[in-house]
Amino acid sequence: MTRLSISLILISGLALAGCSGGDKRSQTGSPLLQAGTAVLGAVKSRRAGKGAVPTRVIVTRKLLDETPGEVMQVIPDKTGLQDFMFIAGRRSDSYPGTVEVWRSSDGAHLILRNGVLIATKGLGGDMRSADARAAIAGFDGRGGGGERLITLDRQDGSAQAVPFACDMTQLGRETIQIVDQRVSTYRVREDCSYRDTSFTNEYWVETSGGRMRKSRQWAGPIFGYVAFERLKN
Amino acid sequence: MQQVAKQRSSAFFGACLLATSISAVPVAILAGSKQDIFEVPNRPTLNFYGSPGLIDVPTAEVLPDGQFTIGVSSFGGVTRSTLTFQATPRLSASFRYVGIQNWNSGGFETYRDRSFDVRYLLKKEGHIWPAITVGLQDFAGTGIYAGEYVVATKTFDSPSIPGSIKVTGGLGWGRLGSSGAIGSPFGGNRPRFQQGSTGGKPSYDQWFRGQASPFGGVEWQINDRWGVKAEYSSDAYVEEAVNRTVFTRKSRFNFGAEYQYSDRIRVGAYYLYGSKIGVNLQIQLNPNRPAAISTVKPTGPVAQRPRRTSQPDAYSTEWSANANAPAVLRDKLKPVLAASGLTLEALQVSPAEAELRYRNDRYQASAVAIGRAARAMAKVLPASVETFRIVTVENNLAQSAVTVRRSDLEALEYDPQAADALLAVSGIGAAPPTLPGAAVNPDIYPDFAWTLGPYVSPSYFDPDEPVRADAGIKLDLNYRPAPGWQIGGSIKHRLAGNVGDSVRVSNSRLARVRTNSVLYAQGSDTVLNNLYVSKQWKPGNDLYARVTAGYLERMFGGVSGEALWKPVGSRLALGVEANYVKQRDFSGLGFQSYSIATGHASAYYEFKGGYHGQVDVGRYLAGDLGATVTLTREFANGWRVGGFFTLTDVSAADFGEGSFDKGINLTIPVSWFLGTPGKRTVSTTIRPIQRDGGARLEVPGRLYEQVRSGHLNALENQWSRVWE
Repeated sequence: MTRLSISLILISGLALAGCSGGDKRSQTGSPLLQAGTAVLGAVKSRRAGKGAVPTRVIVTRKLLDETPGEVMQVIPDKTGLQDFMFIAGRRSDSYPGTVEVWRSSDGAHLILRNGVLIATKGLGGDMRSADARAAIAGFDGRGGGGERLITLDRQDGSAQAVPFACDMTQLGRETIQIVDQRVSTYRVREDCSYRDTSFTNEYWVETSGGRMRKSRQWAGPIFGYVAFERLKN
Repeated sequence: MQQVAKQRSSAFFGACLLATSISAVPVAILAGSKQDIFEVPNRPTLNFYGSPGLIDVPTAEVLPDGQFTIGVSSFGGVTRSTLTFQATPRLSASFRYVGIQNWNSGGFETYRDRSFDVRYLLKKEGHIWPAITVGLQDFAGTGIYAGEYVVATKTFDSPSIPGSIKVTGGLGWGRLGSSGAIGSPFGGNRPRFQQGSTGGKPSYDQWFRGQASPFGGVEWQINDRWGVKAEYSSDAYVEEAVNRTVFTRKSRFNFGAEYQYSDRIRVGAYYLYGSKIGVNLQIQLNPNRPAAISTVKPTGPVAQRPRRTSQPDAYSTEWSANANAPAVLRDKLKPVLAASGLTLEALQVSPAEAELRYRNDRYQASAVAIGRAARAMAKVLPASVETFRIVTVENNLAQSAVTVRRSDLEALEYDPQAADALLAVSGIGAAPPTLPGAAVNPDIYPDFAWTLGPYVSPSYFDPDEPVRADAGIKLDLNYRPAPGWQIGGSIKHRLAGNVGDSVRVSNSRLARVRTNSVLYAQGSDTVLNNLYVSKQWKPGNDLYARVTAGYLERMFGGVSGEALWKPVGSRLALGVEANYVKQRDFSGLGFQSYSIATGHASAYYEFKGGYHGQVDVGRYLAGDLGATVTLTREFANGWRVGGFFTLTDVSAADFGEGSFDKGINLTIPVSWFLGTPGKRTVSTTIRPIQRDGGARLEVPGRLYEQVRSGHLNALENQWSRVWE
């Protein structure tokens, strides 16, 4: 129940953002923000009547064009609910790839390095940090893999750095549909395991430019899998 | 023995850190290893004694490390309520309160008693070997439940049968050797249970002596929800069913079915001893698994400075020539800190360095506050400022100085090991008492705060009424005229309650420093709980001091002075406290004639793995000399479970029931329940009985807990949260 409500907060945070008076940036009044309000309505009806299928906003080109800035759609497996994230920062450091900080409608952060999830903030049971090198190295079409050290919040005030052993499998070219666009991608699967725990991430990387357009990634034992779709660059 | 069974559960302030399980445990076996995050520990079911077990007999299973359980069982007029804590991966301790109806002897219609148990897992379950546990039941009480056992349990998972089956066999002594005995393997005679003895001392001369009997049984956990149990009990219930007629015992066999209602709650119904229906409620919590997932609303990423090579002008230090610069930066930094719940106290800036002193009223983990403060500084301060010194101040006590290079902050935020990497390049050292020449926040003093809220003040274990309580409204006032100065007060008004209805009067042979609580409860409905003036400061980098005067607590007023030595990086702290106090009137503001000089020298030590020890040596309120030993298991999220005992020069006979003072402490952070950040905790101390020996003064605002939350050990334990 608690976990559900946490996820509800993530998704329904649109309303919260509205009264926080904080960092609203330029999205205020964007069509997708209003779309999110519709999601909030769906959340409420879901709460009232158990088992009701959450309504999803059908994203159209028009909606996207009217939304300023970059947009990432995110759907956590746990809730099946849809949210749209906006970019809160972009950084380069001494590690390969570019870090993008994506902010959900309720202010949670999902942080990606070249599209690979390296941290979450504000979800609870967060992924504190992660090494993305082995994954990023595998996007060049030649396979690969290696150790991926992922530090996870233990929820007792401490964290555990877990050395996952990962394998990258190239699944070949795949053309995916994003809104009204057909995007040619390489599909890559990453299988990671540590003792009895394992997870499988899937990535769809654009054949031209190497940008990650779509993925399904594990965000730790509490939050589980999250599906990302980069709607607008 | 039951003449005065009065206990106040006092809500200690953070300072009274007294704590843990069985204090005689050598530190070596305390060294616990952290459980793997993905490991789902086996959670055994509880018996009628609130221990891992079948129905009335124990099994060898061990609770997950840190597990905290509450068991309430009842059958045939026997009701047992038990708290159990798995203090280390192998050692657990229990505290139990029992009521036996239809006792009808020794002046009691219903017999009530308290008991302590300990269990130790000798051998973990392997492929072939069963788990083996040794247990001492009621090892320090008056002995109604005194018994010892060695027990083995093996789990069988067969593909042909759903669920799992656990088979248990053991050998019991004492109560657990009273039926179907096979002889006395370790010989010796065992004295009978004696009602009315003082009790309270470990009865080691009886352990594993006398007749021993086998017991055993089977538990079949059919699926996630349902389980059934059957057992052969070796307990004859001599005192209840033979010497008295509490119930009729017709059989050694017990049967039951249990239902797992939720992750934390399990209920069971049973048929016991061929004659009685019983019920058992089992609640299991783990401090490591919060009731609500904790979330902190993120702040933005670290503000990046422009590259020095491309924009050298940005790094100009001309700004520092402006005499107003510190005040301007202070005023810009204040709201950024406030957005994270932090209060700026002072800011000192130079072209390349800055020191921030701030107050954290929001985060239980100091590391979170430090990470927020660092990012606030990076957002506001000019690019030339490269070194940040971050000092957390707790009511005029600068806890420590964390030194971070701004370029590290910028470079490591998304490092694969972001928190560890930042810790490796951060310095954690002593903070000087004051920061001369800083731009001070002028809005802090004078500071007035008040809270009005309900209170409940329970009183346990009165033989006539096991739980009594007073409830009403409480007004807390706190006025801080200047740094370190505080005028505090607390007024309670009772609206309802029955603590004062007790007819039990003190029979103490000592000065009645604690046993007059009923008279205090009867005194008046509106009481001034405390009202005091205090001043605290740092005489040196590692030294802390406090002076307090006034009505220190409900029963005593006077003056109190304390000094504490606690270097930032030291696991050891030493302190002294001296007080001169007079006993307060039962009502009103006056004093009685009893006065005493009381004080202690204290040593505190933070062991590895979250264990904390404290020894206080000195003179107690009744004038007795002695020492208190406290052991606490501390969880990084703020849970604390501890036990303490006090031995003084008062003889067991003079002390009265219980022989010496002992009890358990429990502190739970409110954020554990709510999932939102906060520093509030709820604390309680439970003593089997409150007597006058070994009683310590309660002084508001003791230093140690105000200081160590910002010291190296606490910061390192929670450093993983620095980027939250």
